[in-house]
Amino acid sequence: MATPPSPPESLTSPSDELAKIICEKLKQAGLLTQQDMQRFSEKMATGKTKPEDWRLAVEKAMDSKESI
Amino acid sequence: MTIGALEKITIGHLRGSVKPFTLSFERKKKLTIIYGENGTGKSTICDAFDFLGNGMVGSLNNRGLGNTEKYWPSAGKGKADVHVQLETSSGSCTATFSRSNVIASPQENRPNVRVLRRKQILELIEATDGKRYDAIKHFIDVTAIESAEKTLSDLIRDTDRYQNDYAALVRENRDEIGRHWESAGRPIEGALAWAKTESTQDIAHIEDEAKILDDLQKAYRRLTDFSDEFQQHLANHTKAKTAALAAQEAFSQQQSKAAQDAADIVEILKVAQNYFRKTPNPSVCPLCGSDEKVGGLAERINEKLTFHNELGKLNQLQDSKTKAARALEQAESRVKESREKSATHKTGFAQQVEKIQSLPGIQLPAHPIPDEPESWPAWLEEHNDLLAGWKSAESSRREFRNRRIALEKALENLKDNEQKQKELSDLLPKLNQALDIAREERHTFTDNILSQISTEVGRLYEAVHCGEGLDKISLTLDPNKRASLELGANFNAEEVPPQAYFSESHLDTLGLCVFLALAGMNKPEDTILVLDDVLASVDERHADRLILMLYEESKRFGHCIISTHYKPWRHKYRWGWLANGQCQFIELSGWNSSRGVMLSNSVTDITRLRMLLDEHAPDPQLVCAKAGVILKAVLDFLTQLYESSLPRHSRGYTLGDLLPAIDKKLRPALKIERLTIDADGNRCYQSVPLQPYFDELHKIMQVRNIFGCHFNQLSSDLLDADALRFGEQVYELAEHLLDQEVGWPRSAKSGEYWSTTGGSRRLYPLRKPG
Repeated sequence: MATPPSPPESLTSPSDELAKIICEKLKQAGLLTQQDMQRFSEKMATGKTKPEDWRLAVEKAMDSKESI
Repeated sequence: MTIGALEKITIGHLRGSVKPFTLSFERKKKLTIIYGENGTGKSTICDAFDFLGNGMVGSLNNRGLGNTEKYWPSAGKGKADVHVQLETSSGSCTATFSRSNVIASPQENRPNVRVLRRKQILELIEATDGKRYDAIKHFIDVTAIESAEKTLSDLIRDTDRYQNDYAALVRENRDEIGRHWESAGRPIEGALAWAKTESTQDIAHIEDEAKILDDLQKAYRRLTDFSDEFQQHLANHTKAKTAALAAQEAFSQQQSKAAQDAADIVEILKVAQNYFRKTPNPSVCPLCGSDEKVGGLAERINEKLTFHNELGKLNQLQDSKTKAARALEQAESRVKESREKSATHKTGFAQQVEKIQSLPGIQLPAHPIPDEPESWPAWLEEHNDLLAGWKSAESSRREFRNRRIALEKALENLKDNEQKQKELSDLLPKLNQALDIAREERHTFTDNILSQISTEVGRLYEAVHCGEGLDKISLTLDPNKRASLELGANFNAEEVPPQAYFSESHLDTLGLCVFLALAGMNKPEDTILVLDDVLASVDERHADRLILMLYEESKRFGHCIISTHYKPWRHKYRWGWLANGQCQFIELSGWNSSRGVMLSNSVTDITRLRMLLDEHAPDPQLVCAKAGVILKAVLDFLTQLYESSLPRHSRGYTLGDLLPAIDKKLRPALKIERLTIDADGNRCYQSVPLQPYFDELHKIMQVRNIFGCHFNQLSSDLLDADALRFGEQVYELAEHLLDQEVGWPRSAKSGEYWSTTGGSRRLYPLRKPG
């Protein structure tokens, strides 16, 4: 194969980029708090998200929404 | 790294650079075209960038050489001699060998270099779907997100299961409450309503009542136990009394049998008895010596001893009598003590009866317990049935309390389980929504990237194969296969794999477009793009457009280096058919083993004419020859632009054909406006009529043939000044018409004049006067 033009290491990976997009959408849908966005996005982009992370994040967002 | 403007690259003993070779880059020109015949060192320069940026020499790959590192140094040199240094406006970076690794120092200055070579160009197209996916997976590899989705999907499955579990528990709790309701006889409508009402009722008094009943039973049992004990004491007393009387009687009877000195006599008799055992038939009495009544003496002594034994019994009976008397005393004492205690038990029971008075429906003794405990058995016998009633009353209260506790527990569990079920049923749709969002965004993301690449490939491809309807290039992920990327193209309105229908030339272009599209997605402004001789199988018609496309695309990259042996490219450059202003054209001369890679001066013909004219003693022959060629190029341009009439013949057109084609109507209308920018940045145009040049050239055109093309006597008769004047006129005309930076004025977009890119030249008229 020809040398595949891969992104330089300094660039964000597709997973990084997509994780940010998804987290933004989740936030807009009230499924993630602003406070959790950064931490959750990083976990998602590195494939380290656990079931309890998802549950905690969504429940927290639901609670936050209810409190509003 | 962020790449600065390239200044120069020095290549030492890598491949064809047998001697250190330095290539300087012109400032503000981000496109470098390296032209050279085969074997002039083009690939060595490309390899140098590959070595510096990627630590490899890709031109040797796939040649069946195995490990190619030993071929990287120039002939006769070792790895330690190899070095490549790139200097840019932001610093320099040098690549050298360290054992088997290529080390770039400083690493932070190492440029991002992407190299595409001729032999690789088809690989992107002809690769399997899986390998093609590998080539672009860096852009669409979102396995981390897929993993997060899987985790979320697992959570949804578990949450759904837990929710069902809690629903089952809720049903169980309701059933249990229903059973309690049934057993309570359905007091009100609705089990749950009843249970809730019930659970609010205070049952503390039930517990108290049960305790009172329990205490009453205990008090009654204490009476019973005490009564039994008392009766036993009475019986013992009676028995002791009887025994004492009997002992007294026995003692009295025995007492009358016994003599007063019986003890001394018994001692004497026992001695005599022992004597007679030894001497059974004595002749005289051993005590008095008389033989009187000696016969039967031993037998009589035995009888006497028997009588005295009765005295021993008397002693025993005495002891017995004493003991019996003591036992009687004790029995009497116990009866007395017990009798005294009876009052306590009686009072205790009476107190419990008093407490129970407030409870409805509890049957109590008809009359109080007698004072004399001797009468208690009868009383107890009379009231014995009451105990069972009290026990039953207590049990019913205990059972009620236990049912209530079970009911409350069931209600509590119901509440908890309903709450948990609700929480999960609220959570579940949110989790599903989150999963939908993640999936949709992932699909959109990858589809967008693929679409972006496809669109970009299509755009580039259309730029080369304009109007051929082949721009519908598609890249699609096969949903049924992981990491598989399909390439499609629209051919005769059908979606087909391009390998099946496209010509080799078309596939070449497609491969190049795919590479450029991918390279363009990686911060191209920080990338040095190297295209090593990629223009090979492209035909003349497409080559022009491919070159223009490459010119255009190179603007996006930090720097673009294109090596080529495509001769028309050089021709186009020399005659201003390319946007020369943005590119540096480098020509390599023949390589040899002693000099290595060599540069050749590569200047345009107009510049060359100027140089000839500026020489200390200009050569008229050379000036005329060069000016003739340039004038022919100028006339070729104008006659094509204005679609001038020319005699039709098969040989090439001469100046004699071309110059009259700029006829009397067109000639006075021709003028150039040249853009000048003053020190303040103001743009203004200087108008230059071209007719004087054509008129003058018409007059002196013959000097070109006389001086420039032939050996003849006439040349000696003409003045050198005429030849040089011809050269100057041609130079000025060409200079007015052609901006060497951007080429000829060929754009009619203004609707008024022909313009160069950026408007540095405006050529009037737009149409040939009628």
